[in-house]
Amino acid sequence: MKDAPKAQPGAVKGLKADMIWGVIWVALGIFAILYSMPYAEVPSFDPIGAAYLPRLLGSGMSILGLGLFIDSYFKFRNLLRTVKVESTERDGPQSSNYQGAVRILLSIIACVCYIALIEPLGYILTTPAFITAIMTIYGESDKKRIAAMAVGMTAALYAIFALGLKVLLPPGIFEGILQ
Amino acid sequence: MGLFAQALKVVLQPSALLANAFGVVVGIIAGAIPGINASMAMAMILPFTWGMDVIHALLMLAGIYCGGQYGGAITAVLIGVPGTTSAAATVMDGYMMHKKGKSGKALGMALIASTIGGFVSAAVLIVLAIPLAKVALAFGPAEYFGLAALGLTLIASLSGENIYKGLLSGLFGLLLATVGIDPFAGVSRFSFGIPNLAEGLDMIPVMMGLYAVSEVLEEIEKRIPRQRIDERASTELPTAKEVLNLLPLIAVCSLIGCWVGVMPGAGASIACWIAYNYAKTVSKNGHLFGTGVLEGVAAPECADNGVTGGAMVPLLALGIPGSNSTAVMLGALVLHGINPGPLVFRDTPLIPYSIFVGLFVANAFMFLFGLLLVKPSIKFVNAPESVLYSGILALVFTGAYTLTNDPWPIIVTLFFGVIGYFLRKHGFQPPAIVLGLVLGTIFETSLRRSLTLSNGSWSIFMTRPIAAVLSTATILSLVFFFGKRYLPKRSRA
Amino acid sequence: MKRVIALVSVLGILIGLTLVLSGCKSEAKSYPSKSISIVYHSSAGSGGDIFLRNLGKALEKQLKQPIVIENRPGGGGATAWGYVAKAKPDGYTLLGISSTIITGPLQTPMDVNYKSFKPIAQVFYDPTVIFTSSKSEFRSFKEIIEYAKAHPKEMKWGAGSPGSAESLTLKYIMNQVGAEIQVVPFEGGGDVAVEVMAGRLAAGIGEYAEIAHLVRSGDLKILVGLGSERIPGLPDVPTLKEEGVDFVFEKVRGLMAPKDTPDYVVQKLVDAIKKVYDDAEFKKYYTESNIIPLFRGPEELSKVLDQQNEFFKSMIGK
Repeated sequence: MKDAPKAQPGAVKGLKADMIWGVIWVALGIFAILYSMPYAEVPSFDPIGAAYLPRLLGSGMSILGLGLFIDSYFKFRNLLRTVKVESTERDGPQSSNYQGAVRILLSIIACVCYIALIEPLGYILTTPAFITAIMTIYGESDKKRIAAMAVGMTAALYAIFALGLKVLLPPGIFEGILQ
Repeated sequence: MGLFAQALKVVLQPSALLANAFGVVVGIIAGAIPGINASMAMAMILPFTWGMDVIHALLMLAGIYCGGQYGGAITAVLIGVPGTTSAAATVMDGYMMHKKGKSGKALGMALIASTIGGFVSAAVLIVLAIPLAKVALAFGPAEYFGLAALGLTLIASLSGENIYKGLLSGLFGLLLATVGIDPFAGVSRFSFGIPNLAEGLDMIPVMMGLYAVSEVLEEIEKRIPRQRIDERASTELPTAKEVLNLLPLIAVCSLIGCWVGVMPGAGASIACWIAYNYAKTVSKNGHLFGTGVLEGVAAPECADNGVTGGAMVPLLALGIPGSNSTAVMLGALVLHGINPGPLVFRDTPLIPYSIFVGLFVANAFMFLFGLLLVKPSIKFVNAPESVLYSGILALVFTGAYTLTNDPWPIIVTLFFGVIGYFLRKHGFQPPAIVLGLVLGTIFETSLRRSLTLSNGSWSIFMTRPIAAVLSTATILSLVFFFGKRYLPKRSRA
Repeated sequence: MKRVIALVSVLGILIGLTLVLSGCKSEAKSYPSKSISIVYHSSAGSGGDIFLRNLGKALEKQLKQPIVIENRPGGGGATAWGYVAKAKPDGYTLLGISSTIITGPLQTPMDVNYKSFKPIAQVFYDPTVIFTSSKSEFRSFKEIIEYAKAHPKEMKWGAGSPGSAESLTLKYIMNQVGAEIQVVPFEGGGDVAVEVMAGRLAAGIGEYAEIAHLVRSGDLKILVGLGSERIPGLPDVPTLKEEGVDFVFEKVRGLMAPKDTPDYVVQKLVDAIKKVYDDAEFKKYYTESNIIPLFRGPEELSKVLDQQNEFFKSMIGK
């Protein structure tokens, strides 16, 4: 970065991403306009109808998305013109980024499993498993701490919600035992 | 003053104090738990108040109502999840202060502001309940539209560096608000054949996803240990000087809360944003809002407790509940054979006056219990990162589940958590999305309702006096914002 | 911190143990031997929810078992109804119904409708009324309709959302009398009341329970009731029939059960429901809340639901 005083690390990547985001928003805006077309045909109690706001928002999104794209495109060109970045950008700590992405992916999978299993298996079984999974994914190595947290947190939540507030948490396989 | 003395005597009996205090504790806890709010807690307790004396029952419910408004701030500050929708604006600066280690200051400020807001609104209620009742009727769809539009201008100033990204975030939030069955045409919009979407998106899971889950995902990705123990969340409270400096702001925002509360269709989830917007506009530190400034915590918190007294005006003087919480109180009143409305002041004046006095006492209790809770709750979040983040996810998901006793809200929470993670990473503004979602429904319905009443003429927003004031304020707020942002640059160039 | 964790976990184990032990009570043959949940499609604190909570409390005394109200909002009702339709038909999961169980599935396609359940009983009905501001020049239903006929599409009336029972019945009434008005939809009757009181709307339609206190305070006056008989306590308010429109609408509040629930369970519940009307506390609740006790057994309830379904089906198409 010696010969590139103005470029922030990741600036080029950020601007490229912004250009992609610009396209995404334009697409979402156009989608909103097209998808809400049939709503205009539905008779409504009011003069402007059900399609009015989605259309307005869709148009706004497309225009602003285009604005974002153009804005970041010019910033991108200026940056390339004034700064030599190619080599410095590539040297980033790739491996830690990669591990971070894996951790996120694993956490999301854990969440999805939790959602899928909470009703069939029951709250008091899935919650400690979920907490254990998240802590392990985060990199917690203290087994005792994981166990204490998994049991303790589940018990505390169960006490607050099911016993204190009388909300029904899914009993799952304990159905019939826990009433 | 005879009535006051009488009411004071009733409210200060030990059993009445106990009912009130119990309500406040329940309210704070219910408010702090994401997914449970004051009105739900009130509904669950209502059948148990059957055998009680009516004043005791009302004091308990009023206690829950007040406590709940503050409780939401605890989770907003400490884990970045608004415990109730009215604490959504508190997250902005409260959570940033916590991240800087100033948790005690943020919580203390929220508590002090909430208490003052509560006192101010109770005082306003006492002086103005009957005259204000007439004002409540003056708020029609055109006025609600003005209010929503004024609130939405905040999107622009929430934008941060990149105005495109901020505005796009806001539009996205507004679009999310259109999901579900259209209130005027009955057609199901953007529900893609999913029955759960036909009902629209509930604010709480979306907020929990955008604010909390996205943040936890980011932390799991980075895995940077937080600061050393001694730099972690401190329990130090705001100093007297800090509080005194903010008193004028707190006073104004309490009144804003009160005013929004009087409008039966608005409520605390809107009041907090209007107050935040106001504080950001007038403060010298306006540009620092969102980075963790005390004003940013004080303004929304005093406004959402200011709502409590305001909301009692249409309830007591007209018998119109403006929110679920006041609807439950109306239920309690009716259950005991009391007809709210102008007659209540003539026939059973002790009831409204006991509520007036009870609100003061409830706020005092709230301050006391809140203060006791500051230290233990901060200690709680000083747990190791792995414990904290897994705990937040478990809490948020459990809270989401209880919203409908069904996994659907968890799915929504996770979905918006993932979306929020990507948006946040690329400089978009989750608070602007939340703001769009919160105000979107009232913005659209009041717009369409106004146009129906005016036979399609847009002039309704300028010919009705209060609506005209609000529309003008909206335009001025935009002019002011863009002027501040772009004019100095030009003059410098 | 460690001490806290240890404490919490000990607490957790204790709670777990008590739960397991308390659950071990042998299940008796007689119904009900454990707590009954009544599922409802809107969240805690809504009008129907408060009704069920009060009914539940009165039923508890009859059945000698705790009754839990389970709120499963979402999907315009589909979440709650789908849940109960699939629940074990053992009488421990029941469904609280309002007229939404008819209008909801007609408006959005769902896997369930009222026919997916076994009727238990109608317990009450909510009188629906047409009201106007007490300052209004219209003194009777006939007067306001005459004005509406003379000035087509000019009057603005408040009602619920487009697919709601109120909106649809209002539409039907206007078709019957041959008047054209503009309907402004609102979320609830309370909102309509504000607009009517403020004079922004000429009149409104809604549940009597929601506006009763405003009638008593003299802010609103009721022009006509939609029930088959005059509302108790309002002897001067005519019914729609008396005003020359042959139409009756009574919003149902009642209980249903999963399809295969055994008859003896239903019978037991019906017997218990018959007795709750005399419960002093509950009586106080329903008289003060202005809902009208009306008991209909399983067959009658089923008939009423069929009728209402036919009516709303024909209205939604129009």
